[in-house]
Amino acid sequence: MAKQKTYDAIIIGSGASGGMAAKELTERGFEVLVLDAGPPVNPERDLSSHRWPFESMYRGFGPPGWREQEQWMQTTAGEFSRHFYVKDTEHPYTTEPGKPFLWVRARIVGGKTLHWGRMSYRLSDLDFKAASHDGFGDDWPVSYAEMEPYYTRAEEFIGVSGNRDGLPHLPDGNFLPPMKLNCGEHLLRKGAEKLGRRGIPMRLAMLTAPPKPHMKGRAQCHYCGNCGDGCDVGAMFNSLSSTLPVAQATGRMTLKPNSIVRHIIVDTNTGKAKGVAVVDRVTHEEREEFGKVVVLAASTLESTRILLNSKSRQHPRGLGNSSGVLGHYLMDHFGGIGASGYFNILAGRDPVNEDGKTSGLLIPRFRNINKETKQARFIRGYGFECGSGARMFPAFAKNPALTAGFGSEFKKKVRHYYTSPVSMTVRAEMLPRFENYAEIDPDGVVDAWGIPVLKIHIQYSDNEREMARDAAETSEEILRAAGAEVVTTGGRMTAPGRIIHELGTARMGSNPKTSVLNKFNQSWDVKNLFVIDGAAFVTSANQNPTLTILALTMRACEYLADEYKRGNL
Amino acid sequence: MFGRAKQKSSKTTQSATANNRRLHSIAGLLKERAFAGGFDVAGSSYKFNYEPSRAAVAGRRLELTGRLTVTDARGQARLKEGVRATLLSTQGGIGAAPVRRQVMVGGVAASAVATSGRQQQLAGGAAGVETKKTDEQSKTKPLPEVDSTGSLSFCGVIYFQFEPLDGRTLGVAADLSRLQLNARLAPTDDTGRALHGIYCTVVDALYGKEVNEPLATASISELNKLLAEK
Repeated sequence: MAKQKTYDAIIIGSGASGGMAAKELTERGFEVLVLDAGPPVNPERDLSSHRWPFESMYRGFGPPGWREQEQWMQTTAGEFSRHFYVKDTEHPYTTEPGKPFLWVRARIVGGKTLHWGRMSYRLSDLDFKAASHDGFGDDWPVSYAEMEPYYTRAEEFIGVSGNRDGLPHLPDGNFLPPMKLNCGEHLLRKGAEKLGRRGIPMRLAMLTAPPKPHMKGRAQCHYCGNCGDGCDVGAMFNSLSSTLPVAQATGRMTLKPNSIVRHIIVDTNTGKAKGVAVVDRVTHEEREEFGKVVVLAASTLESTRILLNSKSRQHPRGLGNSSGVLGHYLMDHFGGIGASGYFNILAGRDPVNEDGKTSGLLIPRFRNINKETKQARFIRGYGFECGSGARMFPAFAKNPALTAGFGSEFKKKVRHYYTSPVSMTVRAEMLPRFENYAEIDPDGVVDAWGIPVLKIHIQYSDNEREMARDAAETSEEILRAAGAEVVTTGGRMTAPGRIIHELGTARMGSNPKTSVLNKFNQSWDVKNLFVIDGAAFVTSANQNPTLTILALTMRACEYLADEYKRGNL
Repeated sequence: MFGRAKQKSSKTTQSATANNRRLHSIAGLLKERAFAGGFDVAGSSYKFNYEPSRAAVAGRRLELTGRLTVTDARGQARLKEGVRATLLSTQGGIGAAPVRRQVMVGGVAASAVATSGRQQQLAGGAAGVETKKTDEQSKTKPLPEVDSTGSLSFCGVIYFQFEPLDGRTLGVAADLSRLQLNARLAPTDDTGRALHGIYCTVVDALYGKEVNEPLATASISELNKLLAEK
C-alpha cells in the first residue's frame, strides 16, 4: 500500500483567510492541501450577478417556503445565491432560551467572499490598544505600526477603492479611485458636517480602475449592482478570482472540496498536530489527511468548533485550550439602529448610473476618539453605513409604512421616490466578554455527519445598548440636518450574529494564560497549529473585519514560513 | 475552475456502505400536530411523519411519545407506535414570535412569570460595564430592544433524540440507533401555530438556566390538550 502524502501545510477553509494563506504559502514554496467543507464552484452555473429576476418564475424570491423550511438563518441569501449558503436543516447549532444567535454560513469553495459586503477598513491604535485608552479588556498583541505594511500589501493585492480622508482613527491606504457619491449621499455628508461629523465614500474591495498586472482574470467594476449573487467578472475581491488562482498557478496547491473536517489529529508522542480527520460531505466516507502544519481558516466559529472537537489525552479541553479561553470572548457588531427617509428635492428625477451602485457613504466613528468626544454612558464607538438612491427591489417599496397602496398608484409612487430614499444604519463595536462564548453542545446535538455542534451563549451588555440609544439619537439629528424628511427612527438592535461579523473565541494575546494564540496567530500550546480567521480577534472594533483578517493572514504566513525553514514547527 | 481533486490516495478509515451507515439526523417541519419531512439513504428517498400524542417531563426534559411513519419512494409506509423522542436542545428563532396561549400557573397568567432568560433581558443585559444612572439619563428614551431576544424571543428549532430505532422495521437500510430529529417550527396552519407557542413556553420553563416547575407542569398540560384535540 502506497504511503499517504504528507503536505507541508493543510489549510482548512478557502474563504478570505484560507485563500490568502494558500496564496502566501504556495508562493513561498509550500505544498499545501486546501480543504473546503462545501462543493466546488462552476462560475457559469453558480455566479449569477447578471441574471435578472424576470428570468426566474419566482422573480428572484425563490420557491415559496424555501427560506423558512431550509435556510432560515441565511438571511442574506436570495434565489440566485442560496447555493452559496448552508442548509440549516443539515447544520444545526443551539442557543440558550431567550438569547438567539443568527449564524450565516457559507460552505462552498470561496466561502463568504462570494457574497461579502466588500467594505475594507483598517483598524488603528484606537482599536488595537483600546484597553489602554479606556481600561476595558485587553490590548491586541500587535500595534498599528506592526500591521501597517500588511494592510498595504493586502490592499494592493485585493484592490480597495476609497478616498484618502486623513482620519487618524481610520488610516488611509493606497486606494483605487473611490466610487462617486450620489446626490443624496452628498446631501447627507453635508448634514453630517454641519454637526461636526465626517462623511466619506465607503472603502470597498472593488476594482474601480483597470486591473493591475497581478489581477489576471479580473475586470473593472461596471456597476451592475448585484455583487451578492456572485461577481462573475471578478471586480469584487473573492477567493475564486483572486487568491486561489495565484495559488493554483504555482502548481503547489491541491484543493479538495466537500471535505468536512471532523477534528485535528494529534501526534500522541509530540502533542503536535499531524493531520485532520475528514468526512466527505457527499459520500460520508471517512478519511485522514496529513500535514506538517495545520492552518485553521474555517471561519470564526467553525475553526473554534474544530478545536473544541479535537480533544485528546494531551488536550482534554480541546486543542490549544490550556488557557481555558477557547470559545470565549465571542463578538459581533450590531446594527438595526438608525434612521431613514426621503430627500424630497431628489424625487421624480431620472436615475443615473450612481443610483444603482453597491456603495455608499460611511460616517466614521465620532464617539470616544479623544477627550472632547468621550462619553459618560458608554465606551468605544460606532459608525453609520449610509446610502441614498435605490437598487433592484428598493426597500422602501417593500415597506407599506413608507409606500402605501397597490396597483398603478403604487408603481407611480415607487418610480417617483426611486432616486430619493436615504438611510443610515449603525455598525457598532461589541465588547469582548468572557461570558459570551461557544461550547460543544452539552446535550449531544450533532450535524448531518454526526459531528457535535456548537451551543452559543451571547448577549449584549448595557454598553452596547447605551451605544444603540445614542446612535438612534445621532442618526436622526444627522438626517434632519441634511434636510431629509425623516420617516423612521430608532429601531431594534440586530440579534447577535446578524451583521455576519462574528469574531473572537480563539483570541490572540501576549499571555498564554489568557489567550489561545500568540501575536502571529500561532497556538501557544501546539507550535504547528495556526488560526488565521476572525477567531483570532481580540476586540471587534467597529470596522468591517475582513481586511484585518487578510493582513493578519499575510503576517502569520510570513512568520510560519520563516519558522518552518528554521525547523521550529 | 477548482474542480474536485482525486482522492484515491486518501486513507479510508471507515466503510460507509448503505448497510451500516448511521443516519445521524432527519429534518422535519411542524405541520398540524406532526413533524414531517424527508431524508435520503444511499440514493433512496424516504418521507417521514412523527405525530406525538403525549407529552411528559422525563429527567427535566420534554419527552414526546407518538407514531413514527416512514414511507419509501414506492409509497410503502411502515410505522411504529409509541416512539419516544426527548428534547435535547433548541435554537432561538429570528423574526416574528408566535402568539402564545395564556398558560395559567396557580391562577396567574404565565406571561407574568418571567423565566431566567427573560429576566436577564428585562434587567438590561448581562453584567458588564457599569453605567451611571443619572437624572439626565432617566429622562432620555429607554434602551433599545434587541431583535428576537428576551421578551421578544421564541424557539425556531427544537432538536429531539429518538429512542433507538430498528431501521429494518421501518424499511430503512441504515443504522437508526441514535437518530436526531431537527424539528423546524415555522408552521403555516393554526394548529401548528398554537403548538409553536406552547413548545416555546415549555422550552422557557425547562431549558433555561433554572427550571420553572410550575410553568413546566402547566405548559405540558396545555401541550397535551393540544396534542389530543382532533
